[in-house]
Amino acid sequence: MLLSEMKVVAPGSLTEALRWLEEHQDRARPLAGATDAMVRVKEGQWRSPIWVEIRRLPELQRMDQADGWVTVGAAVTYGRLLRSELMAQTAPLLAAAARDVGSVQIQAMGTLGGNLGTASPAGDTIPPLFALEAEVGLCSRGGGERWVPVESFFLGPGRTVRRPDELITAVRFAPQAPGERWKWQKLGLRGAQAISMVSLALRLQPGFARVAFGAVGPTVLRARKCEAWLSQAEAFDLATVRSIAQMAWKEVAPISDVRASAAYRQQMACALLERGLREVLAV
Amino acid sequence: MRSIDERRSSDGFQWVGRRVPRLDGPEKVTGRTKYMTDLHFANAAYGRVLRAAHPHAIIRRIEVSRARALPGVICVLTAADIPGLNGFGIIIQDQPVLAREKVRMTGDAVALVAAESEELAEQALALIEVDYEPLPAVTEPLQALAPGAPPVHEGGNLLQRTTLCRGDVARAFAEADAVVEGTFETPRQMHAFIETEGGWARLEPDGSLTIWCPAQAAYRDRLQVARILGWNPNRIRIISSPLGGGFGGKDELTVQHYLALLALHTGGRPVKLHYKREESVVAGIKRHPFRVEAWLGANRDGTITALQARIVVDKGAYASLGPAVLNLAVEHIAGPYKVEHVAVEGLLVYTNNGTNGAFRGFGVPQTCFALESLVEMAAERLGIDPLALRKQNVVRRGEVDGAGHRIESSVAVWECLDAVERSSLWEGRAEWVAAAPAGKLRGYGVACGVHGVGLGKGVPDFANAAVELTAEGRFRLLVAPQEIGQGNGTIYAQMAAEVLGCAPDEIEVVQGDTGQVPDGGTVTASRGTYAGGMATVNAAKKMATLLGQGAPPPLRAEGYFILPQAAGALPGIIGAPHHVCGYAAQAVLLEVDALTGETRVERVVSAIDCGRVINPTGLEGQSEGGVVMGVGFALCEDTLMEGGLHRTRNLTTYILPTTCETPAIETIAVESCEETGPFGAKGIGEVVMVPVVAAIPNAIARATGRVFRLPATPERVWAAMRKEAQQP
Amino acid sequence: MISFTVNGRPAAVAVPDAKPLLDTLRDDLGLTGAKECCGKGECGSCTVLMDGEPVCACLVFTAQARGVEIITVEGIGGGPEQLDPIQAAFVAEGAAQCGYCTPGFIVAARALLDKNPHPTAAEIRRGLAGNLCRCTGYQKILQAVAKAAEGRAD
Ligand SMILES: Cc1cc2nc3c(=O)[nH]c(=O)nc-3n(C[C@H](O)[C@H](O)[C@H](O)COP(=O)(O)OP(=O)(O)OC[C@H]3O[C@@H](n4cnc5c(N)ncnc54)[C@H](O)[C@@H]3O)c2cc1C
Ligand code: FES
Ligand code: FES
Repeated sequence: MLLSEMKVVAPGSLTEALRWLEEHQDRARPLAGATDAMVRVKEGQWRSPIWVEIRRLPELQRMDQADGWVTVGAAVTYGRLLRSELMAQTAPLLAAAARDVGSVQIQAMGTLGGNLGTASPAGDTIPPLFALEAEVGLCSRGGGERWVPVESFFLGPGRTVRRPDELITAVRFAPQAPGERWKWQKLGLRGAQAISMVSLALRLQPGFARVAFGAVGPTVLRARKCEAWLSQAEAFDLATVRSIAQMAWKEVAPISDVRASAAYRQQMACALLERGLREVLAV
Repeated sequence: MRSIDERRSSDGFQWVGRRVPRLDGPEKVTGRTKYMTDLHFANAAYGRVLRAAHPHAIIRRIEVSRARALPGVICVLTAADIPGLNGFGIIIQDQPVLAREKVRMTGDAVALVAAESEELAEQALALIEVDYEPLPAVTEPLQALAPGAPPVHEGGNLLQRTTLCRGDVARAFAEADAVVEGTFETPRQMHAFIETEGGWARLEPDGSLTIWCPAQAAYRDRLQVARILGWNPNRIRIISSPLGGGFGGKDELTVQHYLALLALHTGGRPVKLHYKREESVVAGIKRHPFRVEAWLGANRDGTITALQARIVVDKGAYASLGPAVLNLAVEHIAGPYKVEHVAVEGLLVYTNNGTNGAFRGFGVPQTCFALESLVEMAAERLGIDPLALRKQNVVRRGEVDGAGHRIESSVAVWECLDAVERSSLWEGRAEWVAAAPAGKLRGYGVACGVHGVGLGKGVPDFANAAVELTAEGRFRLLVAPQEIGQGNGTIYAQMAAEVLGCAPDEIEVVQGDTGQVPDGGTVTASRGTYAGGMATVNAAKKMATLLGQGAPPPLRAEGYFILPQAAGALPGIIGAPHHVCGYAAQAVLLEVDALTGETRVERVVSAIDCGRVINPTGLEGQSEGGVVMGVGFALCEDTLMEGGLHRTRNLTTYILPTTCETPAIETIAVESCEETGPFGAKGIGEVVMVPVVAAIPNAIARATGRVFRLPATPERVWAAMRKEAQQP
Repeated sequence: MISFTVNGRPAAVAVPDAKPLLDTLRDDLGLTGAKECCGKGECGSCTVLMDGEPVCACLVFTAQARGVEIITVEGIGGGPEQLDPIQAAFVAEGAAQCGYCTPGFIVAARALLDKNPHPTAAEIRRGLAGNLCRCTGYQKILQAVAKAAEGRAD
């Protein structure tokens, strides 16, 4: 398929968008901010005959809190996310990750739904969503709405449980507790505009811990052993923090690529956790 | 820099030394400037180049009939369509324009297409069938030298061996109080000019050919194109300025020859080529990766006595300016130091790793990293302050440098070191290091360097410029060196204005168009300000004389300048020594994350011996740009290859410094007054990025462990840190 | 036909839906201020404002621009004789060398100051981190933007 042969349709409503997907199935793809889509198209991939533009659909723009859930629409851009007062209060971890995505330009166009749709293990919003135990909302004309825990959403790099007729509509999660300690960390090859070599989302409350790593496995991974230790530890001294951080070594499965070796990535999972814990615990 | 601005007000010049804003500034900041790749012609044809599918292979057959049959395709060209020489290269023409029997890198051009649209041209490329017989790829220079290694070229893989021998190194090492050694490796740095290679060509109704293409050597390009076409060069006009960056990467032919060939087959329709970044990465030259194995000997009193080095250069598949790069690296191997015993062997080795060529610094950053690391190691071993040790050993005018050349021109490297020593950065370094926050390791480092100006001994080097007074009474200055970003157009106008007694913005400056300007040589080798400036001054003086005689407009005066050559010689090293050199000393403060190895350069002081400052803003611009390019070389930039294939394919994985990596840079102008240069100026466009590439690893070593391979990525620094921690 | 406004004027182009907006601006509308350098969102030299937001035009499908308002560098300030304060500061500080990256920086800086008229030094760095420059080393660019933000006219 040539670039010049691809069509972009611009439905005015969610229902209409879902109709396009239902009718065209694998021949149609959602198009949000295009920051991944255009890159892939230029590389000769993702040459979909029909692109269904969803960036401006009103149904995908929500950012609200009700009934114990914070809900963020799939077409919300990083820019909106990181400037949102609601996010600053209920999900500062996610907002911090959004602030580290690409550049201002990428943040202006790139969306949360697109980050999930691309399903890169280095997607920066995904570790926070794992740590928040978020659910991904999927919607189709035939099947209506379903909510999938984010941990079951990904099948592997670039693969998810989304069916071709479904759109990601939103993610939802319980808000972070007001006094909770949290940390987002990203290790890239430079300070800005870098794809993660390793990333970490960390949440800590007495008796509660969530640790999720990005870019060190086929999908984002939760470090459950570290979580167990962290939630059971009575006091944190440097030695305890170090030994818990070292545990991360056993919980990740990175590969070597052009950015870093597997061995370094594995060590850096520990390093980020140690650095993060020391900062939030001030040890 | 305030001191410079102040001093200026009393030296009697009206324009020289002032912060004259760039004449091309308003056009550039409003997006009005038309670069060659911004031009657009009606009825255009779009070109594309088919690249080799293998890094090393025999071509058995090329079949283009299916591509030719695609509707919308205007022409498909192969080696058989080249009327003249199927070869190019500034020194040796070992690179085929279009490969015929063999490909030696994935950047080799195999066929050309012109079509009604870029998309059609791309489709046509896919229809060209090339039958290859793959050969083993030669990717390690050391292995390429081994007997039985597959030859990249018929003559074998050793393209050049350059040696330099002075004194008796064996004895000197035996007598030295300290001998330090190391093997130092440097990256395949990419020029990463923001404007990729591209342009237009058109066969004119009168049968002549016009090429619009950003380039650093329009007249030489014209000769190369003429040889390929088998044409009288006078029938070719090349318009080459302004450039969206070059840094040496547009010194060799880039697309001019492809444009020319295509234009001969599009029936007079203008044809365009503009590389995507991915094609630029594969096809364009890079900085030669060096492996420098070296030993340095010094005495307890701090005298550096001996240097031995073996340099192995990854040439890539074609010569381009590689022979000259190696020679300059050997000439400057001992930096600005008076080392008495020196033995260097440099080997330039063909591989299938793309191709390398000219790049700001021209081999000197690579060897400076090795030398200045060793100097630092020696200082540490001897317990001498590293800056004092350097000051003690640097050359002064009238003295003999490490290459055995007596310096008979301006040199203020001692003064540069002294300026660094007195900077607030250096004075506050210990305090700053001690104030490292938890989890961070801090260090400071210094280095100095030298870089020749012009093409050097034995290579004819002259410049030429013209000043016109039009019938309307306006001055026009016609100069060959292109506007490549450094602001030379403004510098030339300042110089001419100083002589003519007018204002710089009253002079229209025309650059880089072979249809208008006289042949004034290239914009390379730090020669733009120096050589182009002298030709300009000489032309302006003649014009002033004509005006003084009351001659009526229109008037034209030409000025010439033949670059002075060094009195001495370095036998066997073409281009060495250089009579005039720029010098610099630079120091950095940096911080390493103790857990991850991430390194941040926080501050840099950059002291430059530039002869005389013509425009302080321009000098700072060169200094700051050079420093950040050096930061990239030292910390993050590398074009990774494996098996002759590029793993780094574009700017997604080629890591350039951003605003977040750039340190605070203080530039100090050290003025030495070069008598042979315009108003005392000399070239510094390259030396500005030399010392910093060594000052950074020296600072890393002080903060944690030493790195022997650049770039010092977080992973490498982390590994160095671990090694240091394991040492008793 | 895809219609939108560019620099305050209506534009309508008949181009493939997926043609990068950058190419449409340059080839079809003759606006060559925005440049292509990487084509992949890494360098920012193609930055334009889309409904006030700085975006990489190389990554926008032209069809996505339907009905939006685009501002390119040509729409900032009143030309070489009437520079925007950011443009004037770039000239005064020497922040443009080869100038190929400059339009992208001007647009990104304009967007930054429109949202945040008095940014800190760190905010300027971050706000411009999506723009690459190979000539200047960035220091003069950062100084120019800081100066424009302070409204210094010199
Ligand atoms: C220069 C650059 C830097 C980047 N830096 C980062 C970074 O630091 N961190 C990071 O995580 N990512 C980064 N990215 C990747 C990218 O920006 C993000 O993944 C972004 O979130 C993608 O969102 P989008 O709206 O642009 O998606 P699009 O490109 O529009 O779509 C991406 C994919 O998701 C699908 N999709 C989009 N929306 C939906 C939906 N609602 N329902 C179903 N499927 C959908 C599309 O069909 C497509 O397959 C970078 C990209 C670039 C070009
Ligand atoms: S060309 Fe668009 S970001 Fe580089
Ligand atoms: S001025 Fe040349 S790239 Fe920025």
